[in-house]
Amino acid sequence: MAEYIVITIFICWGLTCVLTHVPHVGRWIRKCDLFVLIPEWRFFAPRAGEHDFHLLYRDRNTNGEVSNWHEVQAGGSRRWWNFAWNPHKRANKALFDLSVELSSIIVNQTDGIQLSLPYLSLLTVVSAEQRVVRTGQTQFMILMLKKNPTETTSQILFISDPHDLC
Amino acid sequence: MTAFGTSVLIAKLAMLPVLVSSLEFLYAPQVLSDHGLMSWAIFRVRAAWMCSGITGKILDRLLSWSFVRPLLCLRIALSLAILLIPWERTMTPLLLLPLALVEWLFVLRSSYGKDGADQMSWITVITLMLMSFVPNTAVQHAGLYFLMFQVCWSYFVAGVAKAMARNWWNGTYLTSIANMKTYGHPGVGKFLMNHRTVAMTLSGGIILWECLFPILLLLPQPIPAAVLVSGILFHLSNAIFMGLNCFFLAFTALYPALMFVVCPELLSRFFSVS
Repeated sequence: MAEYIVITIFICWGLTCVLTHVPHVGRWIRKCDLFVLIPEWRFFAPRAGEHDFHLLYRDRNTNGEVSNWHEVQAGGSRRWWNFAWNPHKRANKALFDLSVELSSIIVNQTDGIQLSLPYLSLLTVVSAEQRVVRTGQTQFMILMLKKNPTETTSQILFISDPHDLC
Repeated sequence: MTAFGTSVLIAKLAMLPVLVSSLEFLYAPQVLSDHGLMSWAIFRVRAAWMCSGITGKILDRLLSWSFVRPLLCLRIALSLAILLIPWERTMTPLLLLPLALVEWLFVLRSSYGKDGADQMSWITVITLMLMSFVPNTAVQHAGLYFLMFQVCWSYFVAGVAKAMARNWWNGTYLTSIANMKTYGHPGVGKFLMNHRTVAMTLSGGIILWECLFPILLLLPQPIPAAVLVSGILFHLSNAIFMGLNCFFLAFTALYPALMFVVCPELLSRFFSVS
């Protein structure tokens, strides 16, 4: 009996993975997938990320003076040993995921951005950065960089509203 | 090699990405802190059941920043135990069930910063756990076929998705990825930018390889064996040039399942334990 149950689970699980690619059914399946058992295999497809995302912030002190933009060092640079040991890939990928999700929220909705998970996450990260004085306000920016044959181009993806530093 | 022997081999190989990823988190844990990019304090608000009621309280206790290091240590201990335990006692629910629970907690903790390797490791651990509950030949076969399906399906879906994008066919996306700081490699990026034809050929080759992978496995030998070798080289190049180390470990760990089905004699020759 137990073997039939396990084999049935494998068959149903496999079929569900296939059904996820049926547009309306897929959305419903993903909603119910509490255990995140249905994979989303994309591997940079159909649209590959072409930009590196950089998280920057600047502060405005209580006198109204605005600082320069500072970059949050999310992950480290690539090293030759990263084929075996790459501890900073998570931070790089997390910043990438948060930026991509924030950009899709910007495109698809006009309000509620400030309550979205990527916005709150990025604001939390910049608010926790080390500062000499923790008064006034802070705001963050996501900058996209793309390397071209002759130059590196930059584009501002998003600038947040100023928020109080507490 | 028997189905059971192959399952054990997969279980041991599948612990490598779990172990490496846990050690990487322990080395740079700040990303998991309450102020990090994979913060549980923020991510838990995505669903009511994760931040309120009894489930919210339990999850908050288990996934809070203060409990991350003990949880990672438990994950390391369990994966090491499976890796080092004698061959015949590897497929035990006593180790695989707690590991699956720990894995699930990490799956819940944040979806940001995760990649295909985490997804494949999670699927593998759950599959092995189910296989360990009923250690008979039929279930071992079903589990191995299921893991083979997951590998083939992952390549096929990714290949079809790429095939639908013009910029994948003309090599633009491949060149862009190679020039990214996150996934790129300065030497390869520069080379592809200066050799557009190579980029286009390589990109088209990846699309065809991913789409045709499941079909090529059905052809007579030595084609399936050659396809498996090309798969290992594909993942190895991703590790070297893109820094996707766990991706290599998580996917190649399942190659014994493919070998068990398409070239069992090769599997027996490489791994004489049965």
